[in-house]
Amino acid sequence: MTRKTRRVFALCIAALLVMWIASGAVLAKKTTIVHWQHHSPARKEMVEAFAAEFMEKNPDVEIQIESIPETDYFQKLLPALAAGSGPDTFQIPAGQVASYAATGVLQPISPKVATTAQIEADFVPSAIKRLKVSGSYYGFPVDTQTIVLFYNPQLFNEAGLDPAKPPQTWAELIEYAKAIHQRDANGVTTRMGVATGGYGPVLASLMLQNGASLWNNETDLPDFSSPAAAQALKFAADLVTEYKVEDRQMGSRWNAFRQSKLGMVFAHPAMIGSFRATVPDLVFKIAQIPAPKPGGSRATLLTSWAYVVSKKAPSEAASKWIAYLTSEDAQKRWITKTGDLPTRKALLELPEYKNDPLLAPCMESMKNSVPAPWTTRRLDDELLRKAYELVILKGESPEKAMKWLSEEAIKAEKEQKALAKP
Amino acid sequence: MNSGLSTAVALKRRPLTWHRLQRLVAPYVFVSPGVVFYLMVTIIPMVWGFWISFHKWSIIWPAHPWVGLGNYTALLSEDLFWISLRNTAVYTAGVVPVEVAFALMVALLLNTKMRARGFFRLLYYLPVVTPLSISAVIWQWIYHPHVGLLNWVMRVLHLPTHDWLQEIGTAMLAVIIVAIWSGVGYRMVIFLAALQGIPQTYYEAAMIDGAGGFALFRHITLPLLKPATLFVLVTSIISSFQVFSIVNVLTQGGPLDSTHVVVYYIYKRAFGDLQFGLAAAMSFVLFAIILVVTAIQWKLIGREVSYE
Repeated sequence: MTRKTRRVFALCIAALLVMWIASGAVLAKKTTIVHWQHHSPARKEMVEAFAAEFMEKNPDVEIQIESIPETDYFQKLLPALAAGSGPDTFQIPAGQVASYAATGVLQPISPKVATTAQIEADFVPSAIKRLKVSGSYYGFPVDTQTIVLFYNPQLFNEAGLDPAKPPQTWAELIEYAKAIHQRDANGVTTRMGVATGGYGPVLASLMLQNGASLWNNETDLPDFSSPAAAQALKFAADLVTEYKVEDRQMGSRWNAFRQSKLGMVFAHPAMIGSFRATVPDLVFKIAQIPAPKPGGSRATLLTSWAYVVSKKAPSEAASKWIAYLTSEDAQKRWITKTGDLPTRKALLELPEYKNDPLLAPCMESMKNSVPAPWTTRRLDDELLRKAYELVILKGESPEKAMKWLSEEAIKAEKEQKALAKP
Repeated sequence: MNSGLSTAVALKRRPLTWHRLQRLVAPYVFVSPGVVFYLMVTIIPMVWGFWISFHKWSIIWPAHPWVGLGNYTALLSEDLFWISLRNTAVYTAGVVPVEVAFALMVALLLNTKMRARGFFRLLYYLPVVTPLSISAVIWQWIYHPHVGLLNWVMRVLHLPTHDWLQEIGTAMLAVIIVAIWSGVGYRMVIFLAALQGIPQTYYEAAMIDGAGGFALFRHITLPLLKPATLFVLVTSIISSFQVFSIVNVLTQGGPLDSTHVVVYYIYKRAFGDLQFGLAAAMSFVLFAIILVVTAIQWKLIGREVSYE
């Protein structure tokens, strides 16, 4: 071997060595997952804790969390997804998973993390119904909420009611609310009986309880035209206009409940976390929402979001991360800290929840839950409230308000469907 | 004109030296960052928005089919768009005249040699620099039907109380009051600066001729404030047509759409319903309306006044 050959040989060895080190460095590089979600202090704290644990268990993965105020969330998310610079994992309303999947910005859950059969075996059907597109699941359920009745036992006692026996029917609810409601000498409400707030999911739950299906399977569109739906709207409006046990002049129903100036309020279980965080001394109880008649339906609308994986994300690591966020252990912690209901079947029957006076009615409400069948967000957020306001502010008949609601809901739903099928 | 032409011809004939090149290029280099920025954040998005308005455009859908004037014709059947336009006109009619008149009045008062002038200037300007989220909390308390300041005053005066933000008849009025409160300070500063630019000699000469206080205001102050008045009017009307934040934090368009304004509706249709094509078409209808209104104002009070 000549001197020149030796030099070339040494150079080749050195080059190979450098390449090996470099490839080692690449291999050692962490997989980064950028996670976006809408902000609440409790939620942010929880997800950050989960991320720290996940990174400890998976040292090759780095989670970067961005918590965005809900008012700005879609304003930021949509352009980012369109530009291809969006997050790897994020949350969207469960009803919109199919629309997002149709646009190609999402990828299904990696089968290496959870197969379709596993997901269906583990989760409550109503919680995952909207997450399945063309046979694949595109997300895990989060922020799952039903409607329950929060009530103040102290106000029950003062009104001569038994806090151990919350109202079971609509008639009882009115009776109890009348007993709690108080006015001063000028007729100004000082203590309010009950509040629905005209909130969309509450109104939809009352309609479902009363036997309205809210969905026409033949047309595959919303349907609020049934007399049962109009009766439910009338019941909610009558609390304000006829029985005067809900007074909008009291301002925020949450503040009224916090100040023990409201006896009963229809709300999501998530308010457990909110009330505990803001007024730790407040004593409250929870019951399933009363049925229209004795022994009647306790159905409640189920609203939820989904953690999803973007198309560009590292499939397995991203799926693993959102599976971790919705694991049994995580869901146990979600419920105690934020009031997010568990969606894993195994948790619903746990004795610790069944025997917990606050959580037991929430778990029962999960069993009676019906997922919102529509895609349009306007129905929950806007249209149901407007139908309610048409009755209480403009004096329209519930039937006329529901006719208007049906037309608007169909228009909104058709528009969303057309978007998903250009 | 001639000298300018001859300089240009001379410059053209002279050989291109480094110094001359610098003189030719430097102005463009200096303005280019501003131009690029303006192009990026205004002109290109505007042209792009116009392009979007002719398409069925959901921001995350990769296909954007051409629909021609489809989005513009669809607006005809968007009832809420027309309601929002009407509400925006009511809002503008409620805010602009009061805001401008009040700002002028305050500026005239603060232009006199009064005590604690600096304090009052600060007081009137404070709402301009107060974050809207904080203002909203304060005003929500003022308007609170039970514990609010406004209803307390109404009760003292034996007048009927209201749920100001939740009643169809009062919600827009409540929003207008907040807008005036938060907008007066900025307009006041413009008027104040213009008032201080009016030469004192005009007043002295008029006073020697026997002009009184109102005559001085009518024949000197008001005409010489025309450029400032035009500026304040044009910018006030444009910002009123573009109102969003106040409605978003106070009423979210309710109750029953009584405070639903155009930009709020555009925002909801774009980011809530993903109808970006339709929202872009609405933006250009709004743009055309603002353009016409501004042109009319320009025509009516656009001529400058000078006593030089």
